[in-house]
Amino acid sequence: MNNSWAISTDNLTKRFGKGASAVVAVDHLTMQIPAGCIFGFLGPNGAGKSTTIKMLTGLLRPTEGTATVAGYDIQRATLDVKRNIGVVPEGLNLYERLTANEYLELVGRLHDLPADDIGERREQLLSVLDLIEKADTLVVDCSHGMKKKLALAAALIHRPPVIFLDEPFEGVDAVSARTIKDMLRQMVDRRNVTVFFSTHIMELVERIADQVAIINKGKLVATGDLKELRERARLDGHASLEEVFLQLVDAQVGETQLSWLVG
Amino acid sequence: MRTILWLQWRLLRNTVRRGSRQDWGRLAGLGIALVLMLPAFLIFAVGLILLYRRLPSNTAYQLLSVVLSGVLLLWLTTPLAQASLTEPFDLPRLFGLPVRLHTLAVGSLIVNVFTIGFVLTAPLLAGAWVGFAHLNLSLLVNAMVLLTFFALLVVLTALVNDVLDLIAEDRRLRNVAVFIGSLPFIAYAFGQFYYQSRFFASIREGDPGRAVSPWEIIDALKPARFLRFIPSGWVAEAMAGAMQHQWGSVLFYTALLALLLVVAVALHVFLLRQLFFGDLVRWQVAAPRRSGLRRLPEAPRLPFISRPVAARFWALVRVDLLNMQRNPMTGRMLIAPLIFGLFTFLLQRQGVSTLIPALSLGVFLSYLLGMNPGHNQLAILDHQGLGALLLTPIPRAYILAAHNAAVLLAALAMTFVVSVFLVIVNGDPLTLPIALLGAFLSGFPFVGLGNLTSVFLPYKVDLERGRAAANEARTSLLAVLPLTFGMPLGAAPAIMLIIVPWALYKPALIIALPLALAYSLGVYAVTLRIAARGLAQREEAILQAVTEGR
Repeated sequence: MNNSWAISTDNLTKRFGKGASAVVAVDHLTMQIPAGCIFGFLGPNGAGKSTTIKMLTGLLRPTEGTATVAGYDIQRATLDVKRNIGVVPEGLNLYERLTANEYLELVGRLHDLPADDIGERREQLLSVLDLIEKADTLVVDCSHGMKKKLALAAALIHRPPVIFLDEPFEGVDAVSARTIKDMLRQMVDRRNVTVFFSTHIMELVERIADQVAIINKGKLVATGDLKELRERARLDGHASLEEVFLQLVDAQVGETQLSWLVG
Repeated sequence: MRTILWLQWRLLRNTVRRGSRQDWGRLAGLGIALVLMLPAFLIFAVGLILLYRRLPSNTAYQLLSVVLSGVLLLWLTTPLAQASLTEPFDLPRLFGLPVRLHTLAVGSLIVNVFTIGFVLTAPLLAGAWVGFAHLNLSLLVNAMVLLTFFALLVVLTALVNDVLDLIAEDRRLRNVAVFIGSLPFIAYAFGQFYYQSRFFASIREGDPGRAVSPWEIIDALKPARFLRFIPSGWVAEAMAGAMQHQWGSVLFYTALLALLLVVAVALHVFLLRQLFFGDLVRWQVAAPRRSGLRRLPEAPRLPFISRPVAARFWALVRVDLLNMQRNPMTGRMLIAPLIFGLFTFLLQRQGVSTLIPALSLGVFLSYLLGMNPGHNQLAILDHQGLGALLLTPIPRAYILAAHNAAVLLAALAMTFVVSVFLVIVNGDPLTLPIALLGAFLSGFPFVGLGNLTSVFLPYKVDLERGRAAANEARTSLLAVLPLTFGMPLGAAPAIMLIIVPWALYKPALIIALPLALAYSLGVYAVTLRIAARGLAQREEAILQAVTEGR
């Protein structure tokens, strides 16, 4: 396995349960993601996206296979992986009875940041994400969008080289979403950061992702830039990512069954 | 480790904050609770010290084993009741951050000290040490034994938390855990009831009117002979051994405690490792596979109601019943009729009073009244579902009436179980319809009051855990108080109109029953009308309250 990749998986597999009733959530996933790119990870519901992210971030032990993140083996050097990544998980899992300020302080402390750096960075992050007025508000009293932005601030405060985002823009207002997108792009271009994000919003992936992977029923269906995916789906150069996605996951849109609805 | 302690301190401090401000109401509540509770426990501990010193040594040792077993039970059940002083530390939230496993393991033990168990039991443990301090060596030995026991309490509590975290993903496993957690209390209640009645009889033999002191009961029961098989009993054995200079016994039971402590720590680390790597326990329930979708049952015809109206009402009742069936709180509440029935059966067998069945029914109906409004607001009310209903043009009175119908059906089912026990006890088949009528008629006005509080004082409750979010505790109190004060006006007349004639002069039921029916329906109709109007006018505020947690 080439350690120059920001993220690399080799036959990564996760099975839940045993024997005939076992469910294979991720099935021998092999892919390489270079440093300094925004990587969109797409798939229908239940395809294995969140399970893959959980394994790559050290929250779930793979049943088979290996993976490295930021050059560290996810099983042998879990702590080093966690030191070098920022994560906005699917369920935000924030301490609800800490204030936004306190939560960022907690994350900064656990990443061994000096107190001055924590103070300075959290103020800047909260300002940019339009949370500064809520800095001393308990997380429990924040809206879902604010919690999402706070989780993002916590994922960035230690300047990680690899960032995992699970549905990062869900519930986030348009202005903040634009700010976040610009910030991520600058981090990628200037600091060679790798952003691995999963979403259902095709237009978003089409607009900001440099590389895309499509996963279906736990298996990697295709990976590459949009041009390569179009070729793989045998679609012309004008096909949208949505068309490519539907073609690759073999989705059936059942219009005929809804004649009572569509006329 | 310092950061973990800092986290625990901030969580503790923030229990008295709301939004970005200090919540003075909560701070005052906490202060009052501490002012009332701490002295009570200190006085209790001082009283125990005096008893340990003045009672005969064997009685003192029996008392010690009972007190320490109570302490053990309190610690083990604290995580189940989620009564820690702060927001739960909740280790899995730290798993995504760069924290070492052993730091988490040690941290989880240290933060377990900040529980209500510690505040309440530290005086009791200190009291045991002082009460059994007889010579220098025993002072040292007892301190060592009690500290080992305290360490064991902390680790066992952490273990219970681990198990709860492991099963947190599975609703069925959570229900099983709550059921298992309640078994010691049920066993204690019935065991105490059985032994108390049995030993009262044997102690009073020949002199039925003689007063019996608790010490006589403890001497007769000799609880330590059972409790010596659990860790609290080992502590009592070791301390009694030190008092009597039986050093072999001291060594044996202390070694047992230490061994269990080591095993418990190893198990805690093992479980934590499983949690850390996401190897969650999942109960693989193979749902029966059906080919195709089931047809929905036809709506039953209702008297005086047109078919379309009945169909709409039935659809609402059905979804409420399904919601109730799948709600974890329902299962927990259904155990109550069995306990009531068994207690009535045991009391009647002792021949305490011929009025036992009537009293028992009265108490059970009062319990149902306490449960109904709670169930109306906490259990059946599917908050997101309510949001969906309010987007439809369905009349608001239907929504409330359907909730009420589901609640009343559950109350009738529970009353039926109790009534079966009552019929067995008194052999009077009339008991069954009387009990069902009692539940029906007393339930009506009370669910009506529940409607009013649901509409005018709505609050969000964590349905899985069955409690209001921390910030909503004050609101929930406001919602419960009117119900408490409304009880005499709402339901008591109906209950009295049934229970009193049934117990004293049954022919009067011919007049009392129609009166009770008219009263109940009248109260319900008035409250439903007001609540339905309120629901229509306050939709936005209610939705915000129950879906956003504000």
